[in-house]
Amino acid sequence: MNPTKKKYNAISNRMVKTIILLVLIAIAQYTVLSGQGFSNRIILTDVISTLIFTITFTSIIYIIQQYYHSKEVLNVPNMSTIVLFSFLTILWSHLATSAFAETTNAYNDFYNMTFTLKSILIVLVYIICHLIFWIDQQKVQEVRIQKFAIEKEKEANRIEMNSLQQQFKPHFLFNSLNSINALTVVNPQEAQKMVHLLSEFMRGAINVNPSELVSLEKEIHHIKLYTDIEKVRFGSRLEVNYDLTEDISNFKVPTLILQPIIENAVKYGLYDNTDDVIISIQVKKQQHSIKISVSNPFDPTTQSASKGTGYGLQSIEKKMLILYNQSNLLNTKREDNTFTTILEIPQR
Amino acid sequence: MKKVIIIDDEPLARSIVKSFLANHADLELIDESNNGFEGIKSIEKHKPDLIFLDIQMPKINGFEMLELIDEEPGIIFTTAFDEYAIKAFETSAIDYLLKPFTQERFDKAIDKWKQRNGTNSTVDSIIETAQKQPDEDLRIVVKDGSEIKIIPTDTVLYIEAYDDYVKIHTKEKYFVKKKTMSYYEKTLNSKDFLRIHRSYIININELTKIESYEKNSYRATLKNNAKIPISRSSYSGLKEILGL
Repeated sequence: MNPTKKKYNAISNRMVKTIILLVLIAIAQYTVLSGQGFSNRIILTDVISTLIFTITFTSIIYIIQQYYHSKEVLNVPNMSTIVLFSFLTILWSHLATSAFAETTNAYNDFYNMTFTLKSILIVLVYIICHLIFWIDQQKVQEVRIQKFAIEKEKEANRIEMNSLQQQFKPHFLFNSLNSINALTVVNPQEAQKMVHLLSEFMRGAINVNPSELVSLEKEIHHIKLYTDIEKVRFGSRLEVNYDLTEDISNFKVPTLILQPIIENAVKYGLYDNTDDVIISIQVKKQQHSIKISVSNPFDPTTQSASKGTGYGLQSIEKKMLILYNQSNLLNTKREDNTFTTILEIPQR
Repeated sequence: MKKVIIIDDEPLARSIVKSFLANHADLELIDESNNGFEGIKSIEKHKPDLIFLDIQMPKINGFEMLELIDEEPGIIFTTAFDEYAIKAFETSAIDYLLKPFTQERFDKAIDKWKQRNGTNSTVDSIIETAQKQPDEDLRIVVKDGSEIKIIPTDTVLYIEAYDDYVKIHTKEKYFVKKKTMSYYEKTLNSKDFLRIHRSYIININELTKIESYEKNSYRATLKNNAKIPISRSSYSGLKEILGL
């Protein structure tokens, strides 16, 4: 909220500055008229009445911009207003001078001679003021619209991320508990290991700030817990290869960003094949980012062409967009029987 | 001795059923399968009295597997969490075991099965209600001789009524399946499929031409040149969908 308020202050400042500009113009006008040798009374009445009218009309232009900000900078209503105000300024200041001071022939001649120039100058002053006010207002509106859009998007995504994390994949949880149930009978020691894995994994998945950045090492540790649990569940059918030749401790990634990708790969790998399944996870350093590729086997003959990237991946795309303001960070690739998800994560 | 088969893709899930089963001397475990394809083969070979059947499995799920076997044995479903399936079970008499389960719960399911005398009168209704699972909307599983085929629904050209069966036409050939027209009318994505006749549902994306045919009746032509009659009552609906 603060920057918007600042902007409003800046615009009130703008009005003060405009008045100073108009006063400076009035001083210049005074100097020019003094040079012609008119009486002080004539000069002062002319200069002050002109100043009063210009300040009044620029204020009106300012107010118009506040309440009726037009899309185009110089449309017909705006130009008409400026021309009308210029005409009124010239006419009324002349009338005021005639009314309050005794005008001389020399003054009238000078007035007639400089009428066109004076008109042009006044029109220009109004146009410049209008332009400044319009640009200021345009900025305020843009900031307001942008802020509104960002707030709305952030809110929507916060809700979505929270609900996604709270959802906690009951299918995975209950199947893991079922494996533990079986292990207590067939292999109690392994059961204890599995309880530990599952607890560690759940601890890592709850109480996280969705927009937090964590080290890739931590994220990979979390993923390993997940794949280790799945390996207990599916036995020799599932193999997970990690290719982590880079030093991963220095890279920063959004927390839990890999989880849905791995989950998808495991799910589609295991449920789209009856054979053994190898999931490969590879991390590669780029110039200003890291590239994480996750691939799984799939069967192109039984998959619908229309099938999208899946709910989990859409949420990643959104999360990356909010965090990095880039929309092309998540990509998928189908090659023969391999489906690869590639996530690029910018590094500062 | 009653013959039992366990069908589940997780080895540990099978082992717990196996160890609970060991306490029932009148039940003999004759085979284990780790997916629906193996399950069908095993059922046809051994003709079991009872199967323990998981729902989420590779390639075809438990319900799809049941659609492909001719003689249904007694079934006890075992599943971890499947909101679609559980809803279907809750409205029916058939028993299911929610993973993880105890020996007591397991024994109760066996007793219930024995009381029912091995019949599964409500299995069909479970399959019908549970079938609206997200994955299944996109595929139809059929038996082609001894082979099992998975047809993505976007490759289906049209479906034709055929006595108690339907013919599912694809580019290569058609497959026969024991299902009703109204079942497919209900379950197929209505954006892509439309019933244009008592005996026909077409894939709208395959449509190339509608022409008048004899007096007062119309006929649709598909990309593969198949000509399909349009009933008078569905002609206006078709026109509306095509934006005519």
